[in-house]
Amino acid sequence: MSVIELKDVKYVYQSQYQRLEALHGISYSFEEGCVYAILGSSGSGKTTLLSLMAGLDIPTEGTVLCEGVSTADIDLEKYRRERVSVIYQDFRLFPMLTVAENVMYPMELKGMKPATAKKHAAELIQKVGLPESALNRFPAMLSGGEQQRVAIARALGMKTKILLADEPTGNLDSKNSELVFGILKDLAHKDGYCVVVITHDEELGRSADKRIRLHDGDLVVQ
Amino acid sequence: MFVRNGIMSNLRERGRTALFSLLIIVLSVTMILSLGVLLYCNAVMRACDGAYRSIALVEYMGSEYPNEAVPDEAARKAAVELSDESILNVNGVTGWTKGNTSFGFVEGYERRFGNMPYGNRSVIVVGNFSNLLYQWTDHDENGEPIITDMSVIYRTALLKESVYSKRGKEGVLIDVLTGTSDFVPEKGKTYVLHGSFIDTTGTARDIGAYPMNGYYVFQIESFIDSDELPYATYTEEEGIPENFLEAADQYRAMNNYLSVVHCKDMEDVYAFQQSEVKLSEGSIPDPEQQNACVISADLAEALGLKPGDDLELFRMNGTDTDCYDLSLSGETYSLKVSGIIEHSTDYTGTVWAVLDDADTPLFGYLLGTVSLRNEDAVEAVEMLQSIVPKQVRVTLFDQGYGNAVQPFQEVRKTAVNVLIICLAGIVAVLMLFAFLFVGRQGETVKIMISLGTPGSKITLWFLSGALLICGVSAFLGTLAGVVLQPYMFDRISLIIESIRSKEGFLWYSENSVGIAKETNFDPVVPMWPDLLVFAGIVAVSLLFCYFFLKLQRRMRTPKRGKSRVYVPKGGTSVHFRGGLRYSLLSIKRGGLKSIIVPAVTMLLTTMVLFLSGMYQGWQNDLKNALENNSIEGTVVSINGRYYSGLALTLNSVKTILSVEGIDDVYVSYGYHYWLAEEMPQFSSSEHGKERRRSWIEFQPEIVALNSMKAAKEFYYSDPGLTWLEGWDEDVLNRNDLTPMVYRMGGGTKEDPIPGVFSKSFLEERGMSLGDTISCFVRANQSSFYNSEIEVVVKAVGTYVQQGNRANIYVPLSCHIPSEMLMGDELSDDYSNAQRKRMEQTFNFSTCRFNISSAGKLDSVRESLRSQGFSAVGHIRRDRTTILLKDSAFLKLKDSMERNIAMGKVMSTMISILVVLLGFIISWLMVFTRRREFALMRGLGAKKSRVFASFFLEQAVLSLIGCLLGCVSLLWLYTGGTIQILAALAFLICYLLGAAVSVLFVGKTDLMELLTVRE
Repeated sequence: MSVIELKDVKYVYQSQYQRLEALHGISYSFEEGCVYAILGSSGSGKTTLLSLMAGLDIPTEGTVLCEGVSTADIDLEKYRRERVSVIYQDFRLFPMLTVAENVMYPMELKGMKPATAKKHAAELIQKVGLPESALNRFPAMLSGGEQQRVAIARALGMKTKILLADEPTGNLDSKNSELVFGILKDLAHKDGYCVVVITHDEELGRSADKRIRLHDGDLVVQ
Repeated sequence: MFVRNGIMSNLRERGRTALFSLLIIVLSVTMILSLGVLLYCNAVMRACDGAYRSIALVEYMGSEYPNEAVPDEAARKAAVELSDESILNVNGVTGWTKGNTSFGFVEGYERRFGNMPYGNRSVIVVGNFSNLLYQWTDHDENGEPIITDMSVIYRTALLKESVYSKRGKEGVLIDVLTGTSDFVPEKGKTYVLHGSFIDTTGTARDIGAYPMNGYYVFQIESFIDSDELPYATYTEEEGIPENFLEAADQYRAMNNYLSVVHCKDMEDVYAFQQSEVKLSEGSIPDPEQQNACVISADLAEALGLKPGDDLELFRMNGTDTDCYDLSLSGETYSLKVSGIIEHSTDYTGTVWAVLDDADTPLFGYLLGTVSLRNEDAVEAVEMLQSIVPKQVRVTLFDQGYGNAVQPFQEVRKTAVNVLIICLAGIVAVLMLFAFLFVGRQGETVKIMISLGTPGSKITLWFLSGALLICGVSAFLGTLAGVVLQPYMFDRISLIIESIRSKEGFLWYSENSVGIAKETNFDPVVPMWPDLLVFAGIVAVSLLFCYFFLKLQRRMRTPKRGKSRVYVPKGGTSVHFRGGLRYSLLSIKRGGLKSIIVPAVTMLLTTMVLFLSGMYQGWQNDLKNALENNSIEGTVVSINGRYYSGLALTLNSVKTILSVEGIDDVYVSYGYHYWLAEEMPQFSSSEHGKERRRSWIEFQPEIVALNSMKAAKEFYYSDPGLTWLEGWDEDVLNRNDLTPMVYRMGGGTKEDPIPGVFSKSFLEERGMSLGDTISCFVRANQSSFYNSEIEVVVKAVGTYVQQGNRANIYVPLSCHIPSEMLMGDELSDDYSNAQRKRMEQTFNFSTCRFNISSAGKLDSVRESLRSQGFSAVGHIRRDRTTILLKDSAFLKLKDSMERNIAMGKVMSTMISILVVLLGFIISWLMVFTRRREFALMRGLGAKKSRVFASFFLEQAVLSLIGCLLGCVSLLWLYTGGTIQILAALAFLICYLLGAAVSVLFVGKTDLMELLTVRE
């Protein structure tokens, strides 16, 4: 079942002096239970596409449909809070918050009580393979792989069907990369997430269920 | 390449570059202007210092004040007590000259004006006597006339020769009064007569009452200290008898005496310093030119002297009791004339000479003159006043230096404060500039280091950009400042000019005494300090940039295994919810950030509170000073120096009392008194009568007054009163006593008069409180001139005598009913004629009054002006000259107003600076955390929540700082409304900064936010 669908999506970066069309009318449909890899060289429009899917903006032209509703017609904040979660290459964890609090943050955004959120955060941390002792640690005390797993746990805490990952293994070694990617695959295959991973790692791309290649803002489905 | 890239990378940050350029331009313009004003004021003050001279007169304010010619034992004692060393040791004192005047005589000089102690005495040759024209005298049993003091016998005769006379002209008819002599001329004979010409136009109306024929009236009088007949027949063969010639020579020498003022620095002599005399020829000698002198024009004219000529004077000595009882000492002065002066009659026959001390007994009250350094003069006078003996007053005469420099001192202080604030501001701005343009370019530094860029090149990259922005901005600011400086100076001059020319400025003020000159200066201000400011700004900016660059390079260079990671403390918390939860967590774990914000806000709040507290304190002080200080006013002589011996009319006193704001007026009038048994025997001759009158003049007075404050003796000291039981100072306001002049003939309503006696007077006579004493007084009111009245006075109080004379203080109604002062109806005891006479003829010799609230000072000043009272240096329709003792209050008020004005400028500037800093700090605190902001928004947090998270954090931190700031100042101020409002205003501004920055970040494109790396 299609959870997110792109219809002739165009995006233009417009500044005072320059106009850059990052995406040239991309159309594609993403389904649950599947891991998608968006490949492409730098500047091909990968991150722009992910940002549009993450609801950070709406396309200049075309539509991004989430379960049949255009992101242009909905509250993007609510969309980001309830429908989609994002993992970043540089983890983007709050440095001042403990691992547990980082994971609890989106839950609390949804109105969950802190005590309940903490309990749930502990489960998620366990789920991504981190020891319970990590809960009260701060991001600066963790390795890159561990931080990325915390970021995944935070994404899971949002309880969305769509999980977007921007170069999730970009800052990790091969062992940690495999571990993180394994988690993402499990989420798709076991829990029915629609996982969209942006990467320029061809080998990792090959591990995905489906691969989409972007070339100068145009989509090439493989 | 590095220079170009450095410059371009800075210029591309257009907003930031424009903001800082503007700040640097504004601050450098302000600095150049304030520095220029400071230098301008300094130059004017230096010029003033060169143009003005300050001196202080050290005077003894005793019972003889302000009589310059009488000996005063107390003043002589005070003069001995004055230590030359202690005076010269006072900071600001450059010289000390004791008051010393000697007398001289020179052949050929005849004094025409001024004081002539024997001016009426003459030796004349008279003939052509008429028959007896008028005779009024008693006769004895045989019908022979009895010549008494009251006898009037005169004949008209022709004045043939004046052997010595200042008055009568040869060839005119004169009326010759026989006086107490037995002179009866024989028909056709000519006589040599000794006596005095009598002024028939002045106060001696008893002579004028008779039908005189000649224009001049001559009365035969006996010789001084000689029993020889004051008349002799004259023949051409025998000539003038020897004793008549000797008398003529004696009068000539005594009347034509020269006053020789001995001085060290002539320009510091009061007459020169106050421009009472003006140089018409030659020059004033330097202190080194010993025996050089300046002479009065009348002397120069009489002797045909010119600058460069020599002047030989015979020294004359007076006696210890009379300075004008002169005789030739046999010594001579040999002086070189350096200059000639134009002068008033006061300085007739005066020689000012650079000579050592006169070595003569002190006469008068002037103990000496202190030469002062202008800038330290006020403090020096205060210090001198504290070391001189009791009753000695030290008065500053600065030619108006204080008034001339005071506005410039005020402007200079403001300029210094503005300069300091600008300096602090420019340092803060340059530091922020360096921090933002260099300190926060860590990523660039890191890249450059990673690319192996040499340190010098990195430095070149960053410093070139900074140099361009700062250099150009500072140059533009300096240029604008230099261009604006002349306009600024003109503006200051105009403002100061307008203050000086303001109607009523200094009227009646103590500060107007001694203003002898007004000057205007237009100094040239050098340009090099402006260039220094420009260079300084550029240098400081480069220094800061270099510092931050060094810091960045150190931070970005690998530490060889010593890198440390910052990890906050504490475990997971589940307290609170929403934005507040995140704020509190962020505060708790914010580390340095969570300390810096409260610390900075505490510091800034403290500054705001301190300033507002100081400002409020000054305002309160000023309010209190205006409400609680009373100002004393005095009626003085036209030059402001003398406050006693005045002839102040009742109408003038009533007008003073009617002025709104003047509450009490204290007046006095003295009648010389004597005890019958203490009066020496005087002959009944005219000379004896003159001696008797003179003796009475030197007797103490029964002073009628309405408060001891009116007694000149106690202007500068406390009377130390002791009262007979049941009596107090209220007795002086009793209204039921008869004025002295209405006591003639013995008819009084009451006897005795209650009086306050000198303690020593009572002790010497074995008297005590409650005793009475009978004495005589002499009335001087016109129609009662020289009337002698016997009064009985009861001692109801004692005082500690300050001067030589044991005055007795009695209620004012012994002179004039107090109701007349207050404008109340007089009792029926007085006839209309008496009332009218009192209103028209009765005077007061001292007058003081009180302005209870200093806040009314300006309105009183204005009222006095509108009533036409004169002020020092300004004679108006009422010659009553008023002096308000406002110097100390004005000093206090000026200082407070200056502080308030300065406080206004400083508080405004510092408040703006503090608020700006608060704004910038809060902005930076939020803006540098854009990544967190972006992350929250990325995770779907609402704008309101993100706003709350950041805003609450800043609010809590700044509130803590503000509270700490408030608490830290609690010991200093009790916390008035202004302080609370000031702290609140600062807090609001700080939070506004935080709110605006959150809103600003919130408006940034979210897509862009997610790419934020640092």
